[in-house]
Amino acid sequence: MVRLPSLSSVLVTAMVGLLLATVYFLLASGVPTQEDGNGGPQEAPAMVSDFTFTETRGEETRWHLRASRALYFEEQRRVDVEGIVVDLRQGEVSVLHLEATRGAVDLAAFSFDLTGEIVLTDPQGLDLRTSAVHFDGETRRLSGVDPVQLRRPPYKLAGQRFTYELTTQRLEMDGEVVVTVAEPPA
Amino acid sequence: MIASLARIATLLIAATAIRAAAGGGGWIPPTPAFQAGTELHATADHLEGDFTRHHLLLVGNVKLVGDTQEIHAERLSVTLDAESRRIETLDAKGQVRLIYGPYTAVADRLVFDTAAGHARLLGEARIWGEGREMAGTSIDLDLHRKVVEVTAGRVGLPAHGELPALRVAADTIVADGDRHGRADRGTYDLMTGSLVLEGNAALTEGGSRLLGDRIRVSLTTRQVQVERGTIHYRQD
Repeated sequence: MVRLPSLSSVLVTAMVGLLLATVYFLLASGVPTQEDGNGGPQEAPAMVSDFTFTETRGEETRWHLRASRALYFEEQRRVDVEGIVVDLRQGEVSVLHLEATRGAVDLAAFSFDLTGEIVLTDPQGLDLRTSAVHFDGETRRLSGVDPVQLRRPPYKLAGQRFTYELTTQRLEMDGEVVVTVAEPPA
Repeated sequence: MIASLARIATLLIAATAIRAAAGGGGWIPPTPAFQAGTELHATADHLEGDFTRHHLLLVGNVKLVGDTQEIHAERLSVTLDAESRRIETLDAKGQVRLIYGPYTAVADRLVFDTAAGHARLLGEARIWGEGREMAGTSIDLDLHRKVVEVTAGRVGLPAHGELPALRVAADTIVADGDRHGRADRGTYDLMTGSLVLEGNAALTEGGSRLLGDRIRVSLTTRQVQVERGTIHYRQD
C-alpha cells in the first residue's frame, strides 16, 4: 500500500523551500524591475546564490538540490537554477547523484527539470549522460527524451528516450537502443 | 523396395538423439558459444532493464551479435548471474534466427542456458547449412555432451555424411513417398549404409509389407534381413 504524505509534512517541506527562497528574496530586495510586454513594470525574479532546496516527507529526506545561482519566480512558484547538484535519497542514503548545468525547480509539484550537460551516478557504478531530465518527486521517476548513454558494468546502453524508476531500479529505453554486455574476464 | 529405400533422403523421426563429433567437426552443427570472455552487442527498438534482477528485455527488431554468432528475434531476454555478471540465460522469442558459422537456425523460440550448457529451439525449429538440415518441433543442443536431440521432425542426411550413426528412439518412422518404415527404435549407420529397425519393425511399400522383431536394410548391398518376422509380398 502506498502511504501518501500527510498534508502537514508536505507543507513543512514546502515551507523549507519557500523559507530559503524568501530569505534570499529579502536579501536580494533592490533587484531592479523589468518592463512587461505592455511597457508596465514587472517584478523581476529574486536572484540568489547558493540556493538549496530539500524535500522531506515526515522525517525522511527525499531529495536535496543545491545550485550555485537561482532565480525565484514567486507567482509561478518556480526557481530557475544553474550549477546544479542533486542527491536523491532513500532514508539517509543517497541513491542517485545528479549534476547539471541548468534546470528549474517546481516548488508546487516537488519536481525539477534539468538541462545542459547532465550526469547521473549511483553507488552501483551507474553513469548516465544526457541533456534533459525530468524528475517527478511523487513517483520518484526520472525521464528524458533526448539521446542518452548509460554505463553500469557490465552494461553499456544508448537510446533516444528513457525512464528510470528510482525505487525499483527499473529502466526503460526507446529509439534505436544499443546494448553492449561485456562479460568480465574469466 | 531396397532401391527405393536407397533413395531415402530424409528420415522422419519422432525423437532422435545424435552425438556430435568431437570439436564440432561432425555432422552436428557446432553449437553457439555465448561464453565467458565474449562481448555481446545488441540493438532493438525498446529496452527494459531491471538492475536489481540483472535482467534486460529487448523488444522489436532485436539483433544480438557475439563473437561467433548472431541472433535476430522480436523479443530477447538476457539474464546475468548476480555474482559473476556473466550471461546466465538468453531467451529469444518470435521469428528467431540464429546464425553461426555456415549454419542458420530458425525457430519460434530459442532458450540458451549457459550454466546447464543447453540450448533449445522450439516451434518449427530448423537448422541447416553445408547441405545438412534438421528440423522438428524442438531441437535440443547439449553443449557439454555434444548431443543434439530432435523431436517430431526430420533429419536431412548429407550426400557424403560423416555421421557415424543416427540413433532413433521411440516410434521411429521412416518415410519416402508411399514407402514407410516404423519401429520402436532404429539405427541408421552411414558408414555401412544400413538401417536397422528394432521392436515391432515394419516396412511397407504399396501392398508389400515386412514385419519382424528386427529388420536390417543394407542400402549398399540392397539386402533386407528380417528376424522373427513375416513378409507379405504383393506384386503390383
